[in-house]
Amino acid sequence: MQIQKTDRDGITIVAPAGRIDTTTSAAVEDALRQAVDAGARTLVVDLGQVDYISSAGLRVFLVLAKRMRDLQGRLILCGLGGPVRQVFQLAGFLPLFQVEPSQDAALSTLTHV
Amino acid sequence: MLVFGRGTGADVVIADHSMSRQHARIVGGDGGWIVEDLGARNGTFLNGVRVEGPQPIVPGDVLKMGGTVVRIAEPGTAPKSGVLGTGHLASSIFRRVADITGELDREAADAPARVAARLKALNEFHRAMAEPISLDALLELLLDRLFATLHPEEGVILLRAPDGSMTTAASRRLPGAEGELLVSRRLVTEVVDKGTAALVSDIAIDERFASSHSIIGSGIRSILAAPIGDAAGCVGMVAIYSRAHVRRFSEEDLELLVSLASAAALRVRNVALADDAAARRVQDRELALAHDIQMAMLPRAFEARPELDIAASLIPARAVGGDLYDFFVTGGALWFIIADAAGKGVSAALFMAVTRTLFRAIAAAGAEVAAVVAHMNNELARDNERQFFVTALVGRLDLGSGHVTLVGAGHPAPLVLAGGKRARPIDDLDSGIALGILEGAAYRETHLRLAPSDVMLLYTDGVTEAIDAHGALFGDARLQANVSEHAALPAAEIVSRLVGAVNSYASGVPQEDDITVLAFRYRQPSS
Repeated sequence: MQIQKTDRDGITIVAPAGRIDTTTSAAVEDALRQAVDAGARTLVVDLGQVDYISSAGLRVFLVLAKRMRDLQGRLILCGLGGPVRQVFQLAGFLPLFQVEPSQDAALSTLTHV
Repeated sequence: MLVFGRGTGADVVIADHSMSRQHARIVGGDGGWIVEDLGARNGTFLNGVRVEGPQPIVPGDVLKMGGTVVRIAEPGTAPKSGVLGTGHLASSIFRRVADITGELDREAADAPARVAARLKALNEFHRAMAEPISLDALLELLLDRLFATLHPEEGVILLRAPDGSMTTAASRRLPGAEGELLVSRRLVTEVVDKGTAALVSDIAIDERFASSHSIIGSGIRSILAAPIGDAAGCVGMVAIYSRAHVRRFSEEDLELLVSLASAAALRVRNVALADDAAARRVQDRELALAHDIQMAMLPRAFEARPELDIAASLIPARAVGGDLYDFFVTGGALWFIIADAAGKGVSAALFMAVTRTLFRAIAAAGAEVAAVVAHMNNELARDNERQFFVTALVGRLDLGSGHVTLVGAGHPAPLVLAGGKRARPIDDLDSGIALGILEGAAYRETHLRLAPSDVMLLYTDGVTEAIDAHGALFGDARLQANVSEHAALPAAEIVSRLVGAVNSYASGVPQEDDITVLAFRYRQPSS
C-alpha cells in the first residue's frame, strides 16, 4: 500500500493508492492517525489513486471524520473515482463528508474562505 | 590499576594456560598497592597464601598466578611507572559460548569438590528436562539450580517475545534484596545480539558500564550472563547478579551458567512452540464454538407454509462472519433482514449478533418498518466510538396481500423475479445511511406488491464482489442471469445454485467476504 503525504501551507494532503480493504485499511488508518497526531487539523484525502474500497476501508474515513469533528478540524475527500464513489454512495456516507472533485478544487475551497 | 591474565583484554597478557584470562589485578592508591583475585580458576597466591579478598602488597612480596610468579620489586627497579598508571582496564570477559562449552571437559579433569557440585547441578537439570515440563516450570528450575549452586542475590531470565523484544519471563531474588531488578540494555546487547556469555567481575571498574549509573548505583558488583540459544538462534538470556559483600563470580561460574543455558535453549524453544500450538488450538476451538453459536442464530429449518417458500445461505469467509440474515412470521406478515457488518472476524461477528438481537426485539414489537430501522440505527449508533457499521435491508411481506415494505440502509437493492421475467433489481429503492453511524437518521420505506409465485432475492456484496482467478468481479449481470435461469425452481434451489455458481466462479481464490443469499417466493395469499 503506497500512501503519499504532503504538506502545503498548513494543509496536509494524504493520497493512498491501490485497494483499501481489510488487509490494507490498517496502513491507511495509521497514516491518517499519525498525520492528525502530528497536529494536522486541515486534512485533504485524495482518493484519486484508489481503485477499490471495502467496508473496512469506509470505516477508516468514518473514524477520521469523527475525530476531526471532535478536534474541530477540517476534512475534505477528493478524487473519488466511479467505484469508490459508488461504495460511499451506497452506504449512504457521502453526506457525512465534504467531497470535492479534485485536489485543486479541495485546496481552493480551503484557501478562498 | 593493572590486570594480569592470559586474555588479550588484560593489561599484562601472559601466555600461561594455567592462568585465567583475567586472573588478578593490582590496584594502587595513597595507602600503597593491593592485590585482588578476579575469580581465577587456579587462584592467586600471595607469599604462598591464597588471596581471598583485597590484600596489601609491599616490595619483596611474591605473587603466584597459575604457573606464573611475579615478584614485587623495590621502587626504582620496577618497570616504568607509566605502565602501572595505564588507564585501560577491562575486568570483564565477553566470550564466545562455543569456547566455553569446549573447556568443560578439561575442567572435569580437575575434579575439585565444587566442580562435582556443578556437574551435579547440570545433571539434575538435564534429568528434570527429560520429563514433560511447562515453560514456566523450566525457567523456575533453571533459576533454582543457579541459586543453589552459584548463590547469586538476583537472577532474571529474558525471553524473546513474538514482537522481537526481550521481556522478563522469570526472575528471583534473595529475601531482603532491595531496589529494582535491573537488566542493563548494554548487557542484553552483548549477550543476546552478539551471542556472547558475559562475566563482569566488577561493574565499578568496567568501562562497558561506565555510563550505566542505575546499575552502578544499585549496589550490584558482579554479573554473569549467558544467551539461551542454539545453532538456530538466540531465544533469550539468563543473568545473575551479586553484590560485593556476597561474592564475586568466577570463570567457572560462567561456564556452569553457559552450560545450563545451552541445555535449556532447545527445550525453551520446543516448549514455546508447543505453548503456541496449544494456545492456537484453544483459540481455534473457541472460534469453532463462536461459529456454531453464530450459525445457530440463523433460522434454518422453517416450517412450510402454503403462502411462502423461503430459503437462505450464509458462508462466512472466516470462522465467524459479519453477515446476517434472519426472518420470522408474526401477525400475518413475514419480517426479514439481510445485513453485512463492516470488516471481518470477531468484531464484525459481535456487531452482527447485536444487530440480529435488535431486529428480533424491535420488529416483533410490531412497529412500521421505517421506525424499526430507525430504532435499530439509534441503538447501534449510541456510543459507537469505533464507528462500526452494518449495511442492512429490512422488509415486511404481508402474507395476505403480497405487499412488501422495504427499507434500505446502505445495502445493495434486492432482485425481484416477477411473472417469469428476467430478474431485475429494485432500482428505485430509497436507501438511507448504513446503521450505526448517524444517530437520529431518518429512513424511508419503499413499497411494492408481489404477485403469487413472484420471488424476491436479497444478497450481500460477497456475491457480486466475488473475484475469479484473474481478479474479475462476479458482478450484477452474472447474478441476474443466474437467478433468472433458476426462477422456476424452489427457493432453496435458487439459493444453492447461485451460491454454487459464485463458488465455482471464485474457485482457487481465497474467499474474501461472507457470501449470503436469502430468497423467498410468495406462493399465494393466506386464506
